[in-house]
Amino acid sequence: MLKYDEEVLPTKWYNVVPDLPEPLPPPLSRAQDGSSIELLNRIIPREILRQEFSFNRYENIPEEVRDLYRLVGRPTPLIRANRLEEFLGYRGKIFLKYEGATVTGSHKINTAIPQAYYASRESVTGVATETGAGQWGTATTLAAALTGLHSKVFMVRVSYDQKPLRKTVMALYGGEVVASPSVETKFGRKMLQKDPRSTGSLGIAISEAVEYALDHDMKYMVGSVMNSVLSHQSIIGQETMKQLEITGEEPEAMIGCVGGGSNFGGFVFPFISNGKIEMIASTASEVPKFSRGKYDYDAMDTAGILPYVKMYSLGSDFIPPPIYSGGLRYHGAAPSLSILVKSGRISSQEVEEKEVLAALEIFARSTGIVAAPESGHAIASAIRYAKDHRHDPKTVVLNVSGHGNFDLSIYGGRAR
Amino acid sequence: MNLTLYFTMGYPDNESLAMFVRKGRDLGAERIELGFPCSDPRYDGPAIKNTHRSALLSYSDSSAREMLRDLSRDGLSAYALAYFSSISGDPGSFLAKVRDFGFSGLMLPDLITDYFHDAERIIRNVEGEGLEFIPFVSQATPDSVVRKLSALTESWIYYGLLPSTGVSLPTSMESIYLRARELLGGREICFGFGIRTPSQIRELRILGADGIAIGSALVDYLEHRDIPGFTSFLEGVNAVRN
Repeated sequence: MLKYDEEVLPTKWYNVVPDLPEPLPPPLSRAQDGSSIELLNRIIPREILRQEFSFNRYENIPEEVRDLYRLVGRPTPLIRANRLEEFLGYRGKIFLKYEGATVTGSHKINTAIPQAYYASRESVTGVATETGAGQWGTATTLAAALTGLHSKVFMVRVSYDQKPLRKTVMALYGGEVVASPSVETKFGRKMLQKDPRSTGSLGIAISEAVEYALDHDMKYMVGSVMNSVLSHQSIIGQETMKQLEITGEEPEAMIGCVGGGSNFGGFVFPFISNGKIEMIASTASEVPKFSRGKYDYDAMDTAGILPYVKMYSLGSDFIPPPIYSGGLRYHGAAPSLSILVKSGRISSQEVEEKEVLAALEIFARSTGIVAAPESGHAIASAIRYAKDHRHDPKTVVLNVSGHGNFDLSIYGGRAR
Repeated sequence: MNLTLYFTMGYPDNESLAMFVRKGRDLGAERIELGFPCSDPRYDGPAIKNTHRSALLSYSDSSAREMLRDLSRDGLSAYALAYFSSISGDPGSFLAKVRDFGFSGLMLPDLITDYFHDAERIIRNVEGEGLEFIPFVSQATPDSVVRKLSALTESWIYYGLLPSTGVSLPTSMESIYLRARELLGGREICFGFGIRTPSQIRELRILGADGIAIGSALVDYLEHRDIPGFTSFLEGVNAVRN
C-alpha cells in the first residue's frame, strides 16, 4: 500500500453526537407489546447496535474492515475541478471528493462493509435490505459476498423497472433481488392489495426487508439515517480533511446531496467544529423534506416496525414522484443532520431534476465524471454557489456520492 | 454505592406502593424516586409505560402526600419525576405541589431533549422553589450540554445508560462510565436504565459509580404484590453493591 493512501485512510469512525449543539432525541417505541428498540437486537448485529447507542466520539475501525476498505478502492480521490472553475469563470477553487471511485460506484460500500463484517461474526444465514436506485443494494451484495453471507434485496419497483443493469450487478455479486412491493412479505402483499400497480417507496421496501430478516433469521442492513451508518460514512470527511491538509487547502464551503443524509453527514460532520465552514445540503425539489417536512417523531419505515426517530420528514407514507434520483426519494433525514439543519448550522436548498440534468452535463464535460443523478443535486448546488460567489471567491468542496454509469437512460432524450 | 428505587405513584395501588416503598427503605435504599403518572411517558420502556397507564386511574394527591410524609419522617430523600410535557400547562403550581409534598428535588426526563431552549429558565424556577434539580443526561447528550447542565446545578446527576428504561441492548459499560466521569468530574453520578443483573451492578461498582437506580426490574414484583420476591431481589442487589 502506498504511503499516501495509508496516511489518508482513517483508523477511526467519527460520531457527531457528542459535538451536536442540542441533545439527540432518543428513538421511541410505538409498539403496543414490547419495545421496537429491543426488537433491533434481533435484526441488527450486536456490535452495530452497540455503536448505534454508544455515541462515542470515536470508534476504532477493525483492521479487517480497513483491509476491505482498501480492497474496494479507499481512499477515494480528492480532485481539483479546475476545468469546471474555468467553465464557470469562477475565481475560487472547487474540489470534488469522488465516492464514485469505489468498486460499487458509491459511498454506500463504506457502511455495508462494517455491517456485513459484524453480521458475519454472528451465526446468521444472511443479510436482507432494501434499495432505491440500487447503490445500497449493490454495496450490500458485494459486502455480503466479501464476508461470506447470502444477501436478499428488496428494490423499489420504479427503480427495478428503470435500472435493469443494477439487478445484473447485484446478481453478479450473488445477491437475490426482488421488486418491492413484493409478494414475499405480509406487508408487501398488503401494499399490492391496496395498489397492484404501486411504484413502491423506500419506506415500503425497508418494511419488507425488516420483516424478511425477522422471519428468516437474517440480519438487516441499514442504508442510511441511523447514527452508526453516518459514523461509518465519516471516513469520507476524514479522508477529505487529510487530503486538504496535504494540499494545504482550507475549505470554506462544503456541499453534498441528501437522501437519508449519510453521504452528506459522513462528508461534513468531521468538520462540524470548524464554525467557519459553510455547509449546504442539497435535496430534490420533488422531495422537499427540509422546507415542507415537519421536524417531529416519525417512522423510518412505512410499516412502523422500526423505532420512531425525531427528524425532518414528509411522512412515512409519503410516495414520492418517480424522479430519477432514487436515492433522494426517502421521506426523512437522519436525526443528527435534522438537528443541525434546524439549528441553522447547516443550510439546505432544493434543486429540480431539470437543473440537475444541466449540471450533470456541464460536470461530465469539465471533469469527465458521469455522476449519479443524486450527486447531480450537489453539483447543481455547487454551480449555484460559484455563481453566487463570483465576486467573493471561496474554496468549495463538493462530495460526489456516486457515479451514474447505470443511469445513462436519464440522458436518453438529450442525446445530440 | 447508593441505591435509588423508582416507582410510579399509584402503581399497583396506593396502599401496596406504600408497603413496597417502606420495604425498600428498610432494605437500605438511600433514595426513592417517585414518578407522577402521565399519559405519554415517551422515553420509558414497556414495563414502566404500563405502570403509568394503570397508575393514571389510581393515583391521588392525598395518598401521595401521605406517603411522602412517612418518608420524610424517616429522613429518606424522595425525588419526584415528571414529564415536563404533562405539566407544561401550569409548571408553577406543579412545582409548588412538589415542594409541599416534601420532595427534595425534581427530575424532568424530557426537559433537555424536548424543551432545550427553555431548559435553563425552568431549572432556575425549580431551584427557586427550593428544590434540587436533578439533570438527566445520557450518552446522546452532547458534551457541551452535559458541561452546561453540570455548571447550572449542584445536585447529583442521573445518567441513563440506554435510550429507554428497562430495555436490553449491547453496551460497553466501561466506555460509558469513563466518558461520564471525564465530563462530570467528581460530581455524584447515579446510573440507571436497564439495570437488573448482579453482574451489571458489580461492573459499575468496580468502575467507581456512585450510585445505581432500579425501576423496570421492580415492576413484576409490584404487579404481583410480591413482597418476598422484591425483598430477595433487593438483598441480591445489596450483596453486590456494598
